[in-house]
Amino acid sequence: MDNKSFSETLIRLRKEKGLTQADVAERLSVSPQAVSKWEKGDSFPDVSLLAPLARLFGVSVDELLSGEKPTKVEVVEPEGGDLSKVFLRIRVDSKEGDKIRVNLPFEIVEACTGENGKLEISGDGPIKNIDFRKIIELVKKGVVGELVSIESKDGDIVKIYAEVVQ
Amino acid sequence: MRIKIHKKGRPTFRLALPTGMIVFFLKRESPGLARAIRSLKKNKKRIKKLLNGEPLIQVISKEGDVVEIRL
Repeated sequence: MDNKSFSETLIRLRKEKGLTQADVAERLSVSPQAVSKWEKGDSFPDVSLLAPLARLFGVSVDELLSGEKPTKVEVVEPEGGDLSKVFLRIRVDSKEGDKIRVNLPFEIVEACTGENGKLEISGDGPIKNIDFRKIIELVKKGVVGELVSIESKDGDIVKIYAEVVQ
Repeated sequence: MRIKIHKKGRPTFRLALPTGMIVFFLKRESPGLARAIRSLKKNKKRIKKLLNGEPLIQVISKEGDVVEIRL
């Protein structure tokens, strides 16, 4: 890939997240000038910054580098496969600008889901009305990727991904 | 479990609490969470490896304050 297509992806992802170059610089502990150079295509971030950069934008390193949005969902294993490497990633971006990132092993999510389908650790937060039984059912069928994407009327955005960690 | 609280412009506060203690305090008020943490403890090595340096929970406020919970 060339610096230009990377810079276009970077600008797109940053704007989608509503962040400024200074915000990105601060989160990655680099100078705003460095971020500006990446976006101009004058330089490329150090390889050690790719994973934090991808995490910051809530995308995979692959998407960051290729600029292509991954297929929303895919089926990776037949029913009854090994679920010990499946992680559920919950991303909440509130309208006020607060961000919550939760990385939970699937088995923990399964253990914490009550009979009513609510995650017992969700409290009164924006995920309280999500039926996790349905998510568990999907993951058990081998579906991974973006399983839930909600934008509430208050402007909160909730996304839930199932990801197989190698 | 390791808890990191960073308030912008202030020193970072780091706390390491034994998992058993957290489970003890939580089991009456939040049995589901206590059960989850107990399960995390049992599989700590494997889950830490899978997390690959990422925190279990990370909250970043709009002011830039950060709370992280790691295994």
